[in-house]
Amino acid sequence: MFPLRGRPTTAALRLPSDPSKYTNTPIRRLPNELLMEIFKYCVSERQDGCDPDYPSWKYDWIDREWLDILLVCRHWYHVACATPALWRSIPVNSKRQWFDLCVARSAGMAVYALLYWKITAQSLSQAVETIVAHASQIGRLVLIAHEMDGFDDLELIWHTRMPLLEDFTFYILADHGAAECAVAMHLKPVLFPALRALRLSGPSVSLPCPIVSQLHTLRLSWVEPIPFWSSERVLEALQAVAQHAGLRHLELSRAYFPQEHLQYTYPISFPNLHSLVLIGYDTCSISRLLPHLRLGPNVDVRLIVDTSLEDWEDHSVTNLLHLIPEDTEGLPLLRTTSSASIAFMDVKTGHAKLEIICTPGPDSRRERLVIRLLVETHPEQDRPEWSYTLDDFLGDFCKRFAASPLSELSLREFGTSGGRRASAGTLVQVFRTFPTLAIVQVEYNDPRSSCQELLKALSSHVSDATVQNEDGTPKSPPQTGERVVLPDLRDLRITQLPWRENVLPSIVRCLQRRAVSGSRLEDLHIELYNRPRVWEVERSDWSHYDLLLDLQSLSTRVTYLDGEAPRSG
Amino acid sequence: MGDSNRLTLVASDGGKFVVDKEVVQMSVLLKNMIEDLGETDESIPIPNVTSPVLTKVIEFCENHRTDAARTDGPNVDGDDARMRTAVVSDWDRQFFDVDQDLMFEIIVAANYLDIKSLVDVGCKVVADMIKGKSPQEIRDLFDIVNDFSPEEEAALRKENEWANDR
Repeated sequence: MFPLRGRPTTAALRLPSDPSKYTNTPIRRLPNELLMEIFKYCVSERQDGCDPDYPSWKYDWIDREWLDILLVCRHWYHVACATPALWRSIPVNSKRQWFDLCVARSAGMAVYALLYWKITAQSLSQAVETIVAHASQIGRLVLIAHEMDGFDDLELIWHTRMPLLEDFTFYILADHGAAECAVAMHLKPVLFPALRALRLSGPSVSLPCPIVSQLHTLRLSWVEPIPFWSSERVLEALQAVAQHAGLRHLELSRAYFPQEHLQYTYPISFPNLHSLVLIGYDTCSISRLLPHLRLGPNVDVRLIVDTSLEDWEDHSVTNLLHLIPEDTEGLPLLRTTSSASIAFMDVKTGHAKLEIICTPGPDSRRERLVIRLLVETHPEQDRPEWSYTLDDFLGDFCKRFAASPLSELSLREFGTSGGRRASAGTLVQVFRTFPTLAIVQVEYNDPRSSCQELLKALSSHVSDATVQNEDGTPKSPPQTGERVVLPDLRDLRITQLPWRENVLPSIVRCLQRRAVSGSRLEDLHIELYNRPRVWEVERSDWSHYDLLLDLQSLSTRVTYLDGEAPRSG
Repeated sequence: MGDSNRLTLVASDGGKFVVDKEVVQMSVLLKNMIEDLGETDESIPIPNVTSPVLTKVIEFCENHRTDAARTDGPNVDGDDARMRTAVVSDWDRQFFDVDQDLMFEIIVAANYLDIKSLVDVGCKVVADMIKGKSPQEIRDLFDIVNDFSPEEEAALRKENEWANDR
C-alpha cells in the first residue's frame, strides 16, 4: 500500500513496478542521501525578525513551496518523507494534523514552530494547545502578533516546560505591546533551561532578569521611534546587560529603557561580546553613546542610524564621518574592533543607505575604510511621493558630502522614467565630487533599461564641461594621458541589464576610452539577459565572441553572464 | 623519484591525471589514502570515476584550493549552518553549466571522494533548478515519469493543503 501518513522507514521506500523507466534518467542515478541534500536546499531560508540592513519589520514565514517536490513521483515523495530536516519548520497557523505529521516526520529532531497570528481568539487558543502538546520537542519558537487580543491564552505557554527551546522570538507589532512582551523577560529558567537566544519587541530591561544570565543572544526592538534624548536610556540598558558575562550578541533596535531602575556609570565594558548592533537611533544618540563603550578586540559593531538626508547634515553626520579613523586618529571604539559599520538610512526615500565600514587593513594594524552609498529607486511606479527623484537625491548628496572619501557607489534602478534612473549629467557630478570611488555597481531592473547614461558618464573627462554632443559623440576626443573621471575605478558591475545589440560594443568603447587615459579595471562584471540565441554559427555570434575578447583585454578579471530574464523585477 | 608534491590519479577508464597533492587533499578520501600510503610514487586508482568526470572534479578543486583552509576547521554549528552558508559563485554556476548526465556524475563522484564543498555546490545548483517549478515542470526537466495514480495525487494535494493557514 502507498503510505500517505507517518514517516516511512528506508525499508518502506519502494521502486515503482518498472524501475528501468527511472534508472535511465540521470537524476535517478543519485543515491537517496544526495537527493535528500538537494531537497534540503529546496527549502528557502526563513526570514526572521528585523532586517539587519534596515530597521523596518519583516515577518517571519515558513516556505511551503517546497511541498511541490512531494508530488513529482513516488520515489521523491518517499525520500522527502524520510528527510527529517525538511519537516522541522512548522507553521502553527496550519491545521493540527499538519503539525502532528511534521513532528512525526522530523524523527525526534527539535522543531521550529512559528505562530503568526492575526486570527480569531478561538483559533489562537487552538494554536496554543498545539504548541503546548508538542512543547517537549520545540527547539525554536516564534510568536508574532498584530493585535493585542488573546494574550490570556499565551499564559499556558509561559508555564509549560520546554526543555529543548533554545531560541524564542516574541514580537507584538502593535502599539503598547511592550508590556505584554515584557513577560518573556521574566521566563523562569527552570522551565526553559536550554534558552540561549531571546528576541523581543520593545520591553524594558529591568533588574533582576534571571533568564538574561543564561542567554548568549539578546535582541530588543522597539516598534515606535524613540525621542532623540534616548541615549541615556540606551546607556542604562547597556549597563544592565553588561552585567551578564555570558552575553555574546546584543542588538538594541530603537529600544526604550526606564531611567528609574538604574544608575549608570561610565565606561561600560563588554569584554565578552562578539557583536553589538544598534539600530534606529539618531546621530546625536550614537555620537553620545560611542565614547562610553569598551569592547573586546574582536567585536563586530553595526550602527544603523535612522534619519533623513536633510538630518544627515543638521545632526552632525559629517562629524561622525570625521570620527572614523584615519591612520592614528579617530573613534577609539571603531579602532579596536575587527569590523564596524555605520549605516545612515534616508527615511525620506526609504531606499538610500550610507554605510561606513571599517575593517583591518592588510597589515592588520591600519584600518581599511569603506564608505558605501547604496541607493535604489522605488519599484512601484507613479507613486506620488516619488517626486524626489534619484537625480535630486544624488545631487543633494554631492552637495552635503563633498568632502567625504566615498569609495563605493551602488545604484539599483527600477524603471526608466519618472526619476527612477540616474542621468549621465548627475552621474558625472557624482564621479567628479567623489574621485575616490573605486567600485561602481548599477543594477537595472526594467526590460527597457539601458546602461548608456552610465557609460556616457564614465567616458567623460575631468575637465569636460558636458558629457557628449547631441549626436552622441564625445565632447572632446580622448587624448593620451588626459584624465577621465574616476581614474582609480577598479571594479565595475553592470547587472540585470536587458540585452541590446549595442550594449557590449558601447561598454568596450567606454573602457577603451578610459584605457587610453590610463585607467584600467581590475574587475568587470556584466550580467545581461534575453540575448537572442542562434542555433547555427552566424557572423553575429563571432562578433559577439570578439567583443568578449575585447573586454578581456580591458580588465584583469572579467565575469560575463547572459541568461534568461530574471523572475522578478 | 617523482615530484613529491604531485601524484597521479587513474580514472576508471585508465586516464591518468598528475595533480598537486594540495589540490587532491580537498577530497577527504584521497587525503586519508595519501596519509596511509606515505611518500610513494604509486598511482592512486579512482575506480568509480571516469576521465571526463575526474577532469571536472580536478578543475573544481584547483579553482577552490584556497577555500580548503576555511572548510577544514571544526564546524561548530553543524551541517545546517554549513548548508546555509554554501555560496554558489558565478564560477560555480558556469562550472555546472553542463548536460545533466555529467552534472549528476560530478555530484556522485564528489560524494564518493568526500569533497564536501563540491557536493554542497552541486546540490544547491540542482535545488535552484527545482525551486519555483511545478511538479510537472520538474518532471519535464529531469525526465521523470509521474507514477502516482490520480487518487494518490489527489490525496497528496489534500495533505499538502493542511499546511495552509487556518
